[in-house]
Amino acid sequence: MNTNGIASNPAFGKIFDELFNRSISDIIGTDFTTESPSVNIIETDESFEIEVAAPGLTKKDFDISLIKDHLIISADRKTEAGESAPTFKRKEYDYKKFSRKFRLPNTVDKESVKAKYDLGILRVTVDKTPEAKEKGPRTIEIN
Amino acid sequence: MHTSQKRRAHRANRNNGFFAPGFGNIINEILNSPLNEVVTDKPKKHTYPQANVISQDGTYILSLAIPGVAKEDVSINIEKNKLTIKSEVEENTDAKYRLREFNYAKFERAFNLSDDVDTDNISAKFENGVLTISIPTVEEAGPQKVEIA
Repeated sequence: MNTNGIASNPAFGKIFDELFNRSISDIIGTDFTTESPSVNIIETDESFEIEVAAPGLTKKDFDISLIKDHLIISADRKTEAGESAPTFKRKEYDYKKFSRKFRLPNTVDKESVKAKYDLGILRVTVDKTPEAKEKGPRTIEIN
Repeated sequence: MHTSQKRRAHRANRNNGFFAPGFGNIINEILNSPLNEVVTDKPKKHTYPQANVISQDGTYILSLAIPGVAKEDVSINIEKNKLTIKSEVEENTDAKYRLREFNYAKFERAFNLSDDVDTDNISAKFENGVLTISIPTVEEAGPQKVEIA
């Protein structure tokens, strides 16, 4: 980085860093609405855990279905009767209606899908098949 | 639908998933990631939380989306007319992420409040990953008229 002519100029380098270490939304503002929730997938020895960041919903708004080897996580929150549409001054997110789809690998047990909703995150756990689970080191006896 | 179109739709459908290999995966990643991740082309360590603001009967209601964050980790500070919401959790996880699109452990977002805000009566609640801050406004005193004696 320092051998680069542009970045070695201290003043310019600073601006450069400032621009590039920040997300574009920090600079231009987020004038669009995100409707698809972000997802983390964590692999453990035993399972895959899919975390869907969908804050502001309730358990009953979600639908999790399995179609062949696809796991489909969706939400469709209906506006409740008597609930008036609010006047948005700024709207950066809206997770009321979305669908995300994941192809499951062959190494998971499709019957094992479990889910819970806590702190605005839907956690879907899919266990690995017994064959795919990471086995600890073992010693083989010599007969 | 035309047959080739149908085939293409089917193919796109089949590849649309995280575990799908090849091209479909890239498309899915681009379509599903926030713009900034695509533009900077590197995984972001932390996520900038999104905010909605609605106006209701003279009160602004700010909803900050911070899923997975514990209530005790969030601090809300008002200094002069600046409202700052932050969390500074140092996380030491060795979890193996196969995909990481969000991380709200550490963030800071600040808002400038207008002069008509009643800063003494700001209140907050936290539910299902959404921090809701009610910011009431006071009736602005109209321009005072000075009578000429």
